[in-house]
Amino acid sequence: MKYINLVILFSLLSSGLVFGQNNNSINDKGSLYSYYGIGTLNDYRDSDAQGMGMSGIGLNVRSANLANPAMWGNVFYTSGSGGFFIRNIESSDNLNKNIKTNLEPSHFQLVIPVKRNKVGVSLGLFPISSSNYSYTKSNFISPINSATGDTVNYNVNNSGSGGIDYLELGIGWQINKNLAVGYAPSLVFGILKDDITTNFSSTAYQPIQLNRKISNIGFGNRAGIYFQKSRVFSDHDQLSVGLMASLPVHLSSTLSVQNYIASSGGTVSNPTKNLKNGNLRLPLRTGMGISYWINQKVLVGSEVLYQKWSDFQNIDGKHDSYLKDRIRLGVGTQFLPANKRSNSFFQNLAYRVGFSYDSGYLKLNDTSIQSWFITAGLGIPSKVGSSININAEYGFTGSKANNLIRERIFSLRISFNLTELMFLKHKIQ
Amino acid sequence: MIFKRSSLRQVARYFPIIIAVFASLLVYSCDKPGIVGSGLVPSNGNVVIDTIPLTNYVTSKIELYSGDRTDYSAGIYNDKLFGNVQATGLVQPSLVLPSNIDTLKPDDKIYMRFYIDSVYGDTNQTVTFDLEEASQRWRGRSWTVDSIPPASGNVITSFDVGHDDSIDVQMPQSWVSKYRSVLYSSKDASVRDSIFNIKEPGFILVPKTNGKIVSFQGQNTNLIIHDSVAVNAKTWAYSVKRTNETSVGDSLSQIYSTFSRVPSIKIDVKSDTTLTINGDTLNTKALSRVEMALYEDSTMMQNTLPANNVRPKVSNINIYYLESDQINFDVLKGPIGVAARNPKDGSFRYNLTGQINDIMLGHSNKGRFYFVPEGNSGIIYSLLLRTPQSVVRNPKLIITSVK
Repeated sequence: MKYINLVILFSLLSSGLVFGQNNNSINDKGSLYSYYGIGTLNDYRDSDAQGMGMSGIGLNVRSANLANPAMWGNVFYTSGSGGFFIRNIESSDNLNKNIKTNLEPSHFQLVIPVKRNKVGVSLGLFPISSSNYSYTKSNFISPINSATGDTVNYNVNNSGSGGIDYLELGIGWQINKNLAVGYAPSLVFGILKDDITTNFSSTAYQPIQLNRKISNIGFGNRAGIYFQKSRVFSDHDQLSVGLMASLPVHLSSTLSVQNYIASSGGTVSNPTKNLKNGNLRLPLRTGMGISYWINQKVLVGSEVLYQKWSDFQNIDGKHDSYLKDRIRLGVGTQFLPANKRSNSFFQNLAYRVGFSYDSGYLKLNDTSIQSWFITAGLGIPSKVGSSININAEYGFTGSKANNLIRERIFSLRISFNLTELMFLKHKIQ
Repeated sequence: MIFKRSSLRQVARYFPIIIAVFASLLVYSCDKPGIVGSGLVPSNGNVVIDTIPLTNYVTSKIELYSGDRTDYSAGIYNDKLFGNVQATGLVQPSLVLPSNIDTLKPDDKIYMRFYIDSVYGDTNQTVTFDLEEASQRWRGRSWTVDSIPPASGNVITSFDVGHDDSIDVQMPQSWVSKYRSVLYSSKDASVRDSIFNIKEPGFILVPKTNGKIVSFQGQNTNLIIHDSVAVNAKTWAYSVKRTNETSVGDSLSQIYSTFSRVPSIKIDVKSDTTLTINGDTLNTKALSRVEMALYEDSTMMQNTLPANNVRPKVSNINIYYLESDQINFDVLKGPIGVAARNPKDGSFRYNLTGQINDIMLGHSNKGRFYFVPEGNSGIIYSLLLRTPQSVVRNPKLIITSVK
């Protein structure tokens, strides 16, 4: 019985992640901007930091923290973290509006102390991008070109799915009470799919189903450093600074196309042919975060992330002209009403708010696709450090100018952080 | 490994709230589709129409079995475009006494009734045919269009064909006596048939005047006994001799339902990572429609036809797909399809999508596509087809694909 909760939890997370590998959504529709590049970027964020509009590179939190490998040494309990989010996107241009909803897994991480508060290892699985769009365009074949001599209308539906994921195994080392470092090699993989379905108004034309996919696999490296110092300006304060760098990743990529055709044997799949092999290059990603515990109740922090998307290479070895370097800024605060455990439920909660700005990595029609978000979150702790974090995010991406779309996005993220003296207890027993 | 139940329970207390919030969001946010951002994303999966000229065009002669088709033709017509055409018909009546007739008396009248399906030539012309006895036995099923009819010189009667839909030709009493003598020659039907095949191997419809070619219905060429009782023909066939065709150059080709000149093309298909047809790379294998388009020179056909003269109208071109060792045999099986005349532009279109897809999937592509106007019905059809050398409206493949 004592394993049941863990099994349920892992089943939930695993199923969510497997689901995410296939499709990443319940309705196969998300941001239309995810058509470009490698899709919508998903920053790996610590669940505490999410509510503060940050990823948590320089945030001293007790939960498993994906954002900075340097944090993994200073753990006492084995901790697991996972979650999912629901995202509601209202897209509009100058003429129309539509609403889409996605349910997606966010991440899974297990941090195990090898030597308590000194050395820890982390196993993580998380997406860094997701492609999830669907759009239909209509056109026609003129009578002079059609087989029937009449106008033949047709609809072409493009449906994108997939994304790039990281499977990461890393180590963190708390060198001393002020300084920690970490390193995490990773397997980077994922498939970006574009399914194209064409239907004609005349039966003289066979409908066409064309599935294109780019399969990618490669290895990544990520390192972090973390510094913290207490009693900087007062007896109860603490200053933390974190740096993280994820080196460029070269992915071995294969473009393949499969189509379904009508033959004398009925509709059959035409064997997949690898049309193209190449190397997709994900750019350098760096980040720096600072947080400051003013006292034992109030934490403030800020963070900057930078990705050099001008170095991105597509499968053809070329740079996509619509990609540009990206900067993400976040600032936020956390308030703990009680610095010791209280009998009042609300006194035990962590309250967080934040704001973030993202310059985006797309520049379409001479317009940068920027985002602004305000965030708010609640941390619901347990006595032993387990917690549920509920974070809400509201903001905008893009613009209606220059034939683009503006997306009003509301996300609700739920993360689970479970901690326990796992392996250490086994040893003791 | 133990997760403290108390802590989990505490956390779990708030699950109903979380689920309620999520459910509210999902209900609120039921998808409201609309066309947004059509200018943002490109039109992937463009429907593209490629035109690939048909080359590798040759004409050949195929032996045509012209017996026991729907019709058989007879007559002479000097076509300014398609040459002097002489068709000779053959028909053999059956030796059967209908069940409702007890006896055939010596003075009973027998008529031979011909139903006319089609006329090729001057519709105002009345033409004369001799009904001449064949000199020897012949078989409709093995009769080819260039076989020479076994003339005997024994003309038993003559008849004219004007504007009528059917003609009754009274058989001479001498022939009635001959028919009667064979009919009662034996009680054994097979013996009677053998005698009949020797004594009366049928008639040759020999055209005596120029003006038009008439196509008669084979099955309905009847003997009329006692004014109303019909005895269907046993077998029928026709032969055609064509001379003095007008020279039309390389860009045009006269083609006939008699298979005496059958154009064919070979479509070269290579399928690997993409599709190449006749050397043109398509950059896709997603074919929605592959259509063969053939064109006639309708102007020249019309201008070479005097007033009141007609040619049987070609509405379809039959398509045969034959390998070299199948040509004279498998053509009997019939076409793989027809290229129907497109009413909008007069072209003949044939949907090849299935065949090209089959080839992509590894089916054999050793054969050639052969074109015959209307096929082998017994009516003589003619068409002036444009060849690949034609500057305009040359034969081509029109390929609609998604790229």
